Amino acid sequence: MKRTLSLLLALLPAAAAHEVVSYGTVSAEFHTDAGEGLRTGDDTLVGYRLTVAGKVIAPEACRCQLLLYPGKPSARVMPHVIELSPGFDDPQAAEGWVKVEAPGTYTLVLAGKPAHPGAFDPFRIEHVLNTKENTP
Amino acid sequence: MNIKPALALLIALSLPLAAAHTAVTDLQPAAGSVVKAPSSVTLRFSESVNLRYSIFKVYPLPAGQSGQRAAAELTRRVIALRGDEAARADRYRPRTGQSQGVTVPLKPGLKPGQYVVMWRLMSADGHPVTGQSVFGVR
Repeated sequence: MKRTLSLLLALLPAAAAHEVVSYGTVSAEFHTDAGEGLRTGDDTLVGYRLTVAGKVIAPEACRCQLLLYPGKPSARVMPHVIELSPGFDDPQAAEGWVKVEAPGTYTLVLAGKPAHPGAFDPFRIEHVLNTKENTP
Repeated sequence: MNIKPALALLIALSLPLAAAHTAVTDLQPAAGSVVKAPSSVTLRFSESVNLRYSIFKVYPLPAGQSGQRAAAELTRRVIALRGDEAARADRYRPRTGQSQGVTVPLKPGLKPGQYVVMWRLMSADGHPVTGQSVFGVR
C-alpha cells in the first residue's frame, strides 16, 4: 500500500500539469510549452482548449481574444494581444506565441463570445502564469 | 497511519494521468546544452510509444535563427516531410514495436551550431504529440 502511495505521489505533478479554469458552463484548459509557465527572454507557446458544458468546441465557434497582462489585469495596462492559430497537434485547440522579458507573474485573459449567438454565454477567464527560470 | 483516505484522494488526482499525452521525460544531449559533436541523441518517454507511428529527426537550425519559436516553426515545417535525409543531421530509420525510449544516431562530425531534436509521438489516447529541443555543438 505504501509503495502504491509513493508511486502516486511521484505521478501527481504530471496529473496536475494542465489547468482548467471555468466561467459558467465554459471551461478553458490552458497549457504552455514551458512546463506550464513562461520563459523569460524567449518565446513561449501558449494555448487553450475550450469546452462548453463539458463538450469540446472548435476555435472557430468562439470569437475569442487571448491577452497577456504583466501582473494583474488593469485598465491602465496595455495587454499583449496573442495572435491565435489552430493547434498543431490538436485542431480543437488554439495557440499563439508570447515573449516576456521580465521575470514575475503574468495573467492570461481569455475573453470570448459565441460565433453563433446563443451557443454559450460570453465569458472572461483569467489564468495566472509565473515565469520559469532555466526552462529551455 | 490510516492511508486509505489519502490513497483514495491521490488516485482521484492521478486519474487524469491516464488520459495525459505522452511526454518526453529525458533527453540527451539536454535541452540548451552545448556539447562536442555527439554520435547520437537519446529520448525517454513517460510511457511506451508505438515507434511505427512515431517520427524522430534532428535538423540543423539555420544560421541566424535561434530560440524556441524558430525551433518549433522548423519542426512544424519538416516533421512530416519524406525524402529529407540529406537535410537532416540524423541517420534514424523508422522502426516498429513499442518502446519507452529511442536512440537516434547522428551523422558523424556535426559542424558547430544549433541543432533541433524533433519528435512526433502517438499518445496512448490517440493524440499526436509534437515537440522539439535544441542543443548546440561546439
